[in-house]
Amino acid sequence: MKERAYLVRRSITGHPVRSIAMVLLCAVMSGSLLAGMILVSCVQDGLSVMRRRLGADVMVVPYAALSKKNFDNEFLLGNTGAFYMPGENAGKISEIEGVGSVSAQFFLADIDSELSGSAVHLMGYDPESDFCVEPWIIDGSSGTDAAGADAGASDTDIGGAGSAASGSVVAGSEIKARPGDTVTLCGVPVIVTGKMAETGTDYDTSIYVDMATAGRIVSQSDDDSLSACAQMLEDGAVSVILIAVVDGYDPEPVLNSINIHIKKVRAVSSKEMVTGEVSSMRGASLIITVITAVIWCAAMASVFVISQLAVSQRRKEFALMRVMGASRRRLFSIVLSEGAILSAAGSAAGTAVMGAALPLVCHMTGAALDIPVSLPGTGAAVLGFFLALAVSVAGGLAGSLAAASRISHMDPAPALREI
Amino acid sequence: MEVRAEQITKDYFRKHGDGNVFTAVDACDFLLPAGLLTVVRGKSGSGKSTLLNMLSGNLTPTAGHVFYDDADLYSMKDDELSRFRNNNIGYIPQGRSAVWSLTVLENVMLPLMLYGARDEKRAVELLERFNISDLKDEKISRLSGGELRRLSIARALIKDPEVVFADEPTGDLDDVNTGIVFEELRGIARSGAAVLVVTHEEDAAAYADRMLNMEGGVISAEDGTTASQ
Repeated sequence: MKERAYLVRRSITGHPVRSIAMVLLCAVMSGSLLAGMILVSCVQDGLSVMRRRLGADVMVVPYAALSKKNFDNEFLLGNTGAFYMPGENAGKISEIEGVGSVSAQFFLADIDSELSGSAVHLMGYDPESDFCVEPWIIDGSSGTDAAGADAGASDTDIGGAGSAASGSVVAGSEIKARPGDTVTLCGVPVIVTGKMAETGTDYDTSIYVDMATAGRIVSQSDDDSLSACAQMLEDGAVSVILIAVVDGYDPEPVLNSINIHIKKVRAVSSKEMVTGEVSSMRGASLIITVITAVIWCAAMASVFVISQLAVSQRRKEFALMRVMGASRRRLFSIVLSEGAILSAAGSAAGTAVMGAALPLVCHMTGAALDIPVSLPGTGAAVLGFFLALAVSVAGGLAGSLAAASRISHMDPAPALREI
Repeated sequence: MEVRAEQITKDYFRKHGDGNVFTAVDACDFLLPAGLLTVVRGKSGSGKSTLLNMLSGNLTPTAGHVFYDDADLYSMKDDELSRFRNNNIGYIPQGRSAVWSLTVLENVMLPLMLYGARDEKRAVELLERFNISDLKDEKISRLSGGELRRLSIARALIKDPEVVFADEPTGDLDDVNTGIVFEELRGIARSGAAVLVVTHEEDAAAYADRMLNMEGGVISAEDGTTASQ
């Protein structure tokens, strides 16, 4: 066994070009398979994220917001934009039959800050009525207990050497702050009370503050980007009203009723908004699957060809072994062992490299397709790793199997006479 | 060990003349006695290599039997037959035959390594006998034709076989190396092995203890005896 293993090993090292080609092809097979599986999973999880992110069955926005480019996508990704409507719309809406929970949000500004590599979306919201932000908080809280000390306490705390007042300040996953940290928003110090989980949307670069804190920021900041919303805030305007219908109610009649009775607004069903994204995500999943399948099949076919070429070039060697007394079974196992070692090495390398690069690949795919993507959990990733590894090793073995079978049934006499 | 063939025939199904069957070896009885160098001489396509391969267990006859003492070679299954060949038969193939990823020493030990064994001492002895021991760690590509042929002979003898077959062992060698190879083969026969050489060399007769001719698949002896005598 040891000597036969030695023969296999020498054959692998004695034909470096063939060996490296096989390893690379198997690496491509396993890497592409892992990437494809994880990316499809990410995209489909992203869809779930979008659905969960909304929380609301119906969203009401100012009519002018519909002019915003890629309105549906921007909304689903958590970017409402600087559009406002009267705050009393929330009260009118809550009286419509079928409306369960109502919560409003206010767009403050997109600000440049060292807290994030991209623009930070600053949003005001009502922690008391909120049901969209709260579910995503994984560390800390909305700070409603602290904010419950009311705006008066916040005002009192402001002043002096940049002391931060308490209030609800919930940071997205990509904001460089944790609960308890003091951050400066538009020159105004605030204490972070909660941290959200990664959503793969613009939520991740958002900071949600309660309306009292929003008012404090707007009044105390010198930032010109806030000047536009100062009056709006004072007037009690809101940017979006989120609605959860009563259990058992169809959102459609609620939505229609709002569109009929509330002026200058547009109510949209989250399901309707998601539908378009579902199609694009399904399309994206299909494209990723097809590309993965094409790459994998091409690599597999190449493994098959290289295996066949490799044994064809060594026909005389194998014929020599045969006349030296190697049985068909022994010859078969030598050739298959070579294929097994090369496919295992290549598959392991491919899955390892792709595994390390996956977070970047997922992020780039999401950015390129303009869809939210979220990495799978550890269990799913490990399962994907081993599945890609197993399938690719099996593929490499299958490619070698045909060659091993062919060479073991070869008639040695004619092969030995070849030049 | 005596090798005896009874009415062995080899037909190939391919276009030949007016028919579809080409008879490479016509039905014949053949005896390969121990201790003698038997040479079968003939032109290319005469069937001599086909005969050698049937006798050495590498080509199943269309009809007939091959016996090694009392063992019917082609009644064995492949694993058993392969093991039998490995233990009892030394084979010197035509041309440049070697495993190119192995060294000279490892090539000589190949019949051992196929079954998990290794005997470097024996291999070095054989290399010294054939004056190529200084090349033992070299790659095969560095050997000349004559050196490679001597390596083939050394490899064939690694397990002290009782029967040795050589297919055109001097086909691509000069006169000097041809003489060396035939002397070695005669020496192997003198040590008690049954040796069969197939060749087209006219000079082979000078070394043969027993000379046979083959033409068109039919064997005949020069001295009027038959191949089975």
